[in-house]
Amino acid sequence: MKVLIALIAAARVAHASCGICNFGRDMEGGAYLHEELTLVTHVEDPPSPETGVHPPRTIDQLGLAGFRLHGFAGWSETIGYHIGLDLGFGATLGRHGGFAYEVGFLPAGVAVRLGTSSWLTLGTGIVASGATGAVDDAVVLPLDVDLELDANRVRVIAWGRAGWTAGSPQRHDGAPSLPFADELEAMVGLRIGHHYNDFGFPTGNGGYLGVAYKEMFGTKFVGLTLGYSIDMATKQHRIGHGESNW
Amino acid sequence: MRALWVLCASCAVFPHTLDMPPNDETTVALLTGSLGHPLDGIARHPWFAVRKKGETHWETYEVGGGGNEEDPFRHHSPYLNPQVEHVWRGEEAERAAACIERVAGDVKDYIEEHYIFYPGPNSNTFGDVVLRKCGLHASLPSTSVGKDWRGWIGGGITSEGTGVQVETPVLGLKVGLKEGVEVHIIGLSFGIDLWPPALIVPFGSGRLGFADR
Repeated sequence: MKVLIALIAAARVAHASCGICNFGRDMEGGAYLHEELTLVTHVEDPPSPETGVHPPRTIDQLGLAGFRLHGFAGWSETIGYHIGLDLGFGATLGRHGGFAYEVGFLPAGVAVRLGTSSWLTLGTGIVASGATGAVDDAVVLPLDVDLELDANRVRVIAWGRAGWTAGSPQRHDGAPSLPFADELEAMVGLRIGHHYNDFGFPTGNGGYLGVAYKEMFGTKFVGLTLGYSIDMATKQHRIGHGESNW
Repeated sequence: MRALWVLCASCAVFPHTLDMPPNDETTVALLTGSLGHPLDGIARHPWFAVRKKGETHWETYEVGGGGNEEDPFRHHSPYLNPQVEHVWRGEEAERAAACIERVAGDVKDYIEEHYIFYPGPNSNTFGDVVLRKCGLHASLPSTSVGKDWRGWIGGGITSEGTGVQVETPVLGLKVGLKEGVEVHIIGLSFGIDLWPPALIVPFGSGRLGFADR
């Protein structure tokens, strides 16, 4: 997080000190950090195609704690390059309880700013996930969509991920709602918090509570997410002003 | 209603008072304050405040600062929302003050030389190390990220003195009578404290429930 603050501050310093190149003057960007704990439990099992009975579940409940750190930057006031890092560790419960993890790096993406502190991002990269004794370790090709809508003290935080797995036949075709993907997860939450302008650019933070949803092995899971979120972004200095606000 | 809101604003019910104790005895206090906005909800910084019997000023010990202050309980710039974690008084404080004076300098020098903002070693590692070196039984809040930094792998007795912990930068576990059960995931703390009862969370005051004693 300190690195992100420094990056945004550096862009501002670059604007102030580099009269010739103006490299950072028109730079726009933002970042958001979510620290969260998600607990989901199975709610619906698919019938086995051959026997009509439910196959044995390998997971009853799954809990993951970690963070999602994403950022975006560009020279457009509405579109930027997006990058993300997701880390989550926890445990599964059920027949095979054990350590669970989900680690993702999303170096390719695009962000569309819907306002100073609101944005829609699309990202892809590589995710590794698994759980000892329950979920085969696999590499997942993810397609991530994040939506953050700011309305003063209230902020809507939503994200979804469709995933295509490699290296684990067990995890193929496991998302009934998305026949073209292997796995699906999503969260919609509401943050109550504050806004600041302490670094010369808008920031905000607050705790949030969300509903989490997951499809894996054809099983549907629903649960809760409890988290804390921070967001920051440059001012969209050309919109409505004609020149830089920096 | 307003009183209830003030009481619960930090998510920790019945926190320690921020009123300075009288100077009729030597006093040592461990305090934390939040970093500036927008990190105020997830990151805290500790400092030790030492005042000898009869004196009016406090000597503070911390990473990145330290010196002489009039009221480090309420004003310790640039940190916000100060929180008293523990206060030692009398003979206990005399011993604590002597130890802090003896070890804090070396610990601080080491931390500042090897400082890494996240996951550590950082100012919270300093607080935890001084607590353990001096045998001062107290805990830093879960939002003091870096308090459990023990290198790539490490473990031992907790700073509170009634539990054990095993730590790596990715995963860690602390279990103890006063500590409760605390899981550390990439520096974030989650857990349950049985007494005083609270959920341990990596934001706010670090607790949802009663303040630590």
